[in-house]
Amino acid sequence: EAKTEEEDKEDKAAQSLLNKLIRNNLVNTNNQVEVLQRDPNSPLYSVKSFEELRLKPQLLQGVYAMGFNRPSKIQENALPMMLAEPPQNLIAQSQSGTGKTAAFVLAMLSRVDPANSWPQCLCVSPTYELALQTGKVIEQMGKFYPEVKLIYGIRGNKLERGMKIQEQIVIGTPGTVLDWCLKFKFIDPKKIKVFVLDEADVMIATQGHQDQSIRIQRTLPKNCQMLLFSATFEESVWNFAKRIVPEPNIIKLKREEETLDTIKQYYVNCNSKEEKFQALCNIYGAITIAQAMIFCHTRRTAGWLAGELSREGHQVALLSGEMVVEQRAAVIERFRDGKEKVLVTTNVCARGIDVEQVSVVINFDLPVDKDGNPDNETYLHRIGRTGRFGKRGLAINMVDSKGSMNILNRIQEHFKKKIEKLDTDDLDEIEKIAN
Amino acid sequence: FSSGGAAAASDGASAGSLFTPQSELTADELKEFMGKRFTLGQIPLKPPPADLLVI
Amino acid sequence: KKQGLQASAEESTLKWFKELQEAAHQCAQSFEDLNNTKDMQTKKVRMELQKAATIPVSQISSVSGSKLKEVFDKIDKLLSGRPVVSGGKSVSTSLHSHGLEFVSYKLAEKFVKQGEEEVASHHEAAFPIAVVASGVWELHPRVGDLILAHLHKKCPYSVPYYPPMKEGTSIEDYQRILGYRVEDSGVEAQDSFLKRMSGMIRLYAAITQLRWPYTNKPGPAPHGLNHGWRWLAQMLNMEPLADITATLLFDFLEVCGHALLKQYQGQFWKLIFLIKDDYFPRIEAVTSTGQMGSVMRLKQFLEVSTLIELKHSHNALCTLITLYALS
Ligand SMILES: Nc1ncnc2c1ncn2[C@@H]1O[C@H](COP(=O)(O)OP(=O)(O)O)[C@@H](O)[C@H]1O
Repeated sequence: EAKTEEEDKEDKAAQSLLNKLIRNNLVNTNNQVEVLQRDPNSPLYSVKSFEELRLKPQLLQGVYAMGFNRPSKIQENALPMMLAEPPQNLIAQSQSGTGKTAAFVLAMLSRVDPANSWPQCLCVSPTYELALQTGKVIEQMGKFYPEVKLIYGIRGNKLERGMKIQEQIVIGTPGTVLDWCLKFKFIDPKKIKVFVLDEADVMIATQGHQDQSIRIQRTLPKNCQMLLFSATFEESVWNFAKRIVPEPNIIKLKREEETLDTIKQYYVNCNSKEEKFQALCNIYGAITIAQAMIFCHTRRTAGWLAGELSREGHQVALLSGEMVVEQRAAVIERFRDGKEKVLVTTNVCARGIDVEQVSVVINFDLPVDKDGNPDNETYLHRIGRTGRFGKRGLAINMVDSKGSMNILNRIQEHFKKKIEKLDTDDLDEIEKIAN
Repeated sequence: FSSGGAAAASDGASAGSLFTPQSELTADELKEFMGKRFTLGQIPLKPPPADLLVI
Repeated sequence: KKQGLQASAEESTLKWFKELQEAAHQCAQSFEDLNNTKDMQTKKVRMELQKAATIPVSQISSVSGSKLKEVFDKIDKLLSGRPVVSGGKSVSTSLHSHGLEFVSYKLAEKFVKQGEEEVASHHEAAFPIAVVASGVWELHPRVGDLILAHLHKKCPYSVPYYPPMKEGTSIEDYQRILGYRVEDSGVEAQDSFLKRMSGMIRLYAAITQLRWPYTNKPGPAPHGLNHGWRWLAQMLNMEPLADITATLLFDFLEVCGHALLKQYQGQFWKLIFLIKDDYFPRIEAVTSTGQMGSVMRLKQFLEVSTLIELKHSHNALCTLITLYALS
C-alpha cells in the first residue's frame, strides 16, 4: 500500500452533502463581500444586527432560537437585498458554511402570506439529500411560524392525481418540481413569488437538472423574485445563472485563500511511529484537547495508530477513502456527537470536515503527492480543520526522517509561516503552546 | 495542606442538605419563603424548607 | 441589607470563595518543589503523574456507561494511592512525597479545563464529564474543593460574583480577572469569551444535579441542587451585566432548570416569576441591540410551555443516566 490513496473522483454532490451533514456551525470567514448592484444609485444597505431587518417577530425568534447572535458576513449584505421592496433578483457566490442557506430561507419565509394555502416559494436543490438538509433549516427557522407549511418535492413523495398542494413552501429536486408544476399541476407556477436555485455549480454537473431548472423558471411570473447561489462561478455556471436570473444584483464573498494566521504550527522530531505515538501521549498529557484529528499516509498506519490509542483508553474513530459517503457521514456524525473523540484518517476524506470541538490537528505523516513532493493544498485543508469558529488553531507535524524534514521546510517556505520546533519530552514547553 | 475539606459550604446551607429546616432560617428568610413572590434582591441563598415547597 | 438588587455578592458567598482559593493555594504550595524541579528524573516523574491524572479526563465520551466507569476507576485508583498503567508504565502517587497533592490539583484543573474547551463547543459533553467529576468528588472531597477553586478562578460567575475593578489593576489584568484570555494580539473576541464561560457554567450546573450511579452510598450529590439554588438566588440578587448575565442564566437553567423545578417546586416557580416579571426588564435595560441573542433565548426559555417541554428533555437525560447505570 505504498502508493498514496487514489484521490476520490471529484464528486461534487457527495462532497457538498458531506459538508452539509457535518457542519453545524458558521465558518467565520474574514474576507470581504463584493456587491455589484443592478441599480447603482439605489442605496446599499448592510445590517449589523437581525433587528435592523424588521423581520416578522416569529422569524426573529426562530433565528435566535437557532443560536444565532449576529448576521454572518454574507447575510449582512444579502439579507437586506433579498428582503427589499420591491423584490430584487440576486446571484450570490459564497462557499459553504458562510450562512447563505439561512439567508435565502429567511427570505422565503418572509415573503410567504400564510393566509393563502398554496405554494408561494419554490426552492430547488441538486439532490434528494441536499433538499432534506435545506428543508431542516426551513423547519427550524419557521419553528414559531406554524401557519407556514413545507412540502418536499422529491422522488418517493407520490401525491394523488388532481390534488392541489396547500403548503406555501416547496423544496425539492428539479425533475419532481417540474412535474408538479407542468405535468401534474399540483402547483400553480403563476402564484410563485420566490424561486431559489441552490448550489448552481452542483446543479449543472448533474445530468438533466440544468434543462429542467430552466423550464421551471420559464413557467414563473415576470415579477417572481429569482435567487441563485453557487460556491463557484466558472463560465458554464455563469451562463446558466444569467438564464435563470434576469437583471440580477450580484454578491460575491471574495474567496480569500484559507489563511494560516490563526493557527499555531509546530513540528516534532521522532525516529519511528512508536516515538510519534509517545509524543502524541505527551501532548495529550500537557494540553487540554476536546477532540483531535490525526492524518496518516496509509490505511495501515491509520489502523495501527487507532489500535494503540484505543489500548491507551481513547475513543477512536477510523475514516478512510474506500468508505461510501453515507458511511463517512455516519463516522463523522458520531465524532461530532463526541462518541469518539479522536478521528484517525487518511488523506482523502478530510476535506471540509468542520467540527468545532477539534482542538488540534496532527500530521502523523506529512502530506505528499504521488511523486513525493509536499502537497501544500492538502496541508492547508488538513490544518484548516482547526482554528475555526474564532477558536485558536493548533497543528502539530511529526517528522521522522531527513526526507520528511525536507518536506516540512518546503511547506514552511510555501506558506511563508514559521513552523516551530517542539520538544515533547519537556512538559513545560508543551504547556506553553496552549495558552 | 489541611486534610479535611477546606471550607464548609457557605453558612447559607450546611454542606450536603438539600433543604433548610425552618428553625435555621432568619425571620426575613422565612418571610420570603412564605410569601407568594420573592422580593427583588432578597432571595434567600439557603435552599427552601422541605415543608414550604407548595405555596 | 440594601433594598432592591445588590451591587455585589453576599458576604457568605465571598467568604466561601476566598476560603476555597486559600486551600487551593496551599495545595499548590505543597508541591512547589515538584513543579519547579530542574532535576531530569523528577521532571520525568512529574510528566508521568500529570499524564496519569489528566489523560483519562480527556477520554470521557458519551459512547457508553462502561467506558465512563473505566475512566472513573482509573482516576479513583490513582487518587487512592494504587498504581495505574499509563503509557505502558506503572504510575502511582507514591512516586513523589507530594504526589497525591499534585495529582489532585492537576485532575481538578483538568475537569474545569475540559469544560472550558469541550463543553464550550459541544454542550452535551457536560453530562458525561459532570457525572465522572461528581463520582470522584464524592469519594475524594478534597478534589471537589479544588474543582470549585479552579472553576471560580477561571469563571468568577460560577461563584457567582462580578469581580470589581480594584485601584491600580491594569486593564489587561482586570480583563483576565473577568475571565477573558488576553494575549499579545489583544483580548479575545466576546463570542469566544462567552462560549468558554458557558462551557464552564454548564459543567457546573450538570455537576449540581448528577450523582455517580455506581455508588451504593445513599444521600444527595456531593455538591447538590442546594448549590444550584444558591447560585441562582445569588445571581438574581445582583444587578445584571450586559450579555454575560442573560447568557449564563440561560445556560444554567437549560442544564438544571428542570431538576431544580422537581426539587423545589413552588419555590422554584417563584424564582421563574421573579425572572420573568422583575429581573428580565433589568436585563433588557442594560442590553444594547446586537446583544439581543442571549436575551431572546432566555425569554423563550422562560415561556411556560418551554419549561413543560423541558420535562421531556429531562426525561431523556434520566434515561441517559440509567443507561449508564445499566451498561
Ligand atoms: N448568522 C449566523 N450566526 C451563527 N451561525 C449561523 C449564522 N448563519 C448560519 N449559521 C450556521 O452556520 C452553519 C452554516 O450555515 P448555512 O446557512 O448552512 O451556510 P451554507 O449554506 O453557506 O453552508 C449552519 O450550522 C448554520 O446554523
